[in-house]
Amino acid sequence: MTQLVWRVAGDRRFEAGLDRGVLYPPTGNGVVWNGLTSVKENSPGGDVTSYYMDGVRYLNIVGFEEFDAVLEGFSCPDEFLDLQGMPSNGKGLFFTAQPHKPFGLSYRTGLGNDLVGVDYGYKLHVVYNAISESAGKSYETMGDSPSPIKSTWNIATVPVAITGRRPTAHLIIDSTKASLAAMTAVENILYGTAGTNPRIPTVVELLALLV
Amino acid sequence: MTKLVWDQSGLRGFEIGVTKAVLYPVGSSPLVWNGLLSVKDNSVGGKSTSYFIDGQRFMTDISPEAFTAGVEAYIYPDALTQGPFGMTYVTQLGNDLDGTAHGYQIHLLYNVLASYSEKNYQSSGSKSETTTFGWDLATTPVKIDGMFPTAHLIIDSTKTRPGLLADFEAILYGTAGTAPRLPTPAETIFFFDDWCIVRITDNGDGTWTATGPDSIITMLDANNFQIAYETAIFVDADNYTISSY
Repeated sequence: MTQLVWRVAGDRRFEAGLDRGVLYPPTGNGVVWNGLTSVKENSPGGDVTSYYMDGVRYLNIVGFEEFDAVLEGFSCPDEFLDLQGMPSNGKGLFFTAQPHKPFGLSYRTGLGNDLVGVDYGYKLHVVYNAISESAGKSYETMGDSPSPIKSTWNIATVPVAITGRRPTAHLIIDSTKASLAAMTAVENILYGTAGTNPRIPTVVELLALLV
Repeated sequence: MTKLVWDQSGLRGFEIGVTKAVLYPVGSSPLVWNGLLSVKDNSVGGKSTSYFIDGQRFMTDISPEAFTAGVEAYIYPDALTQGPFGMTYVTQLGNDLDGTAHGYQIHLLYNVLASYSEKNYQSSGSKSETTTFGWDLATTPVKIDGMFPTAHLIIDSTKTRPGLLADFEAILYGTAGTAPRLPTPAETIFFFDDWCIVRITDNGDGTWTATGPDSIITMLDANNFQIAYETAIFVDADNYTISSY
């Protein structure tokens, strides 16, 4: 039998931080997203709708979920400009208001606990079929304490079919629960190696690595 | 092969500031816009609409965009209220090595109309405060061959060859001998595509002509010449493709 015990050492966990943003254009290799400061996941759906009969709650139905997010950063990769409707002629001239293109994304969020702090582990987030809305920017004349502009990008996704599961565009791999070999194999694909280019693996590939 | 590396020196970029605003009224001379404090790009459109099938998001569509902006300034040229105009302004690019002097972007706006959004007059108190004016800018996109219409082009100094940029800025801001003007989008695209230091012309008879500065094209003797520039791409050991650059 098990008696419940609260606040055991090592079980006081939390999440903190964001790093290793990578953009995966529809063609070509993944590219580092330097300057990505936050990813706010604000997925629509997943809300509970209650139905009543004779004044008593009869049924709760949870709406289907999608993955949307708001990215914020000081800068974005050059490749992202084309994907958010701002292609270049290759000579420094950029055209705004052009068609947007889908892309993949990965980023890492930190896991901490009371014993090792923020080095306890991390989650790898892999996002498929994302498309970015246009980002507004606010430029201001520099005062005596200049501060960099932060841009925000709203992204929406279309889910990918997964055998035996509901479709989703957002997979999460937890380093504290996956084997070291599996994490290494996934990261070698996502981030590249001396012999392979970085790319976003298919869902089937990911599932095969994480069996 | 490439292994990703984050936050390398010189690649930690950011944007900052707005400066060097110029108004190009239709039918009259361009004017420097001193006192411009901010430009807030709040373009309409560019938003996603999702379509669903069987309870799942099936596709996401992004609506067409049109550039609109809110601007704030201490003072403004009278021409702002007198019909459509073009406009340019510069925003700065920084990075971890060069600070705020890494580069800049020149924003070109076409078919702009301005309307007052805010005038904020106040009686002077013990401390006098400067009045600022707010304006809403709306644009009508211009047709561009092979592209979606747009009223907003951007030139990035860190991705433009220095000579090209200097020549284009001489058009925008004028020189001792030429008046400033805003080239049309078609003219701008042609200028960027056509600009080169060494021009290679196919004469159509199996010969070609290279035109460029004497420092680059030199005659080695009566029959041989040398082009010391990035104009040739070797196809193999004996053949090459030569083009303007």
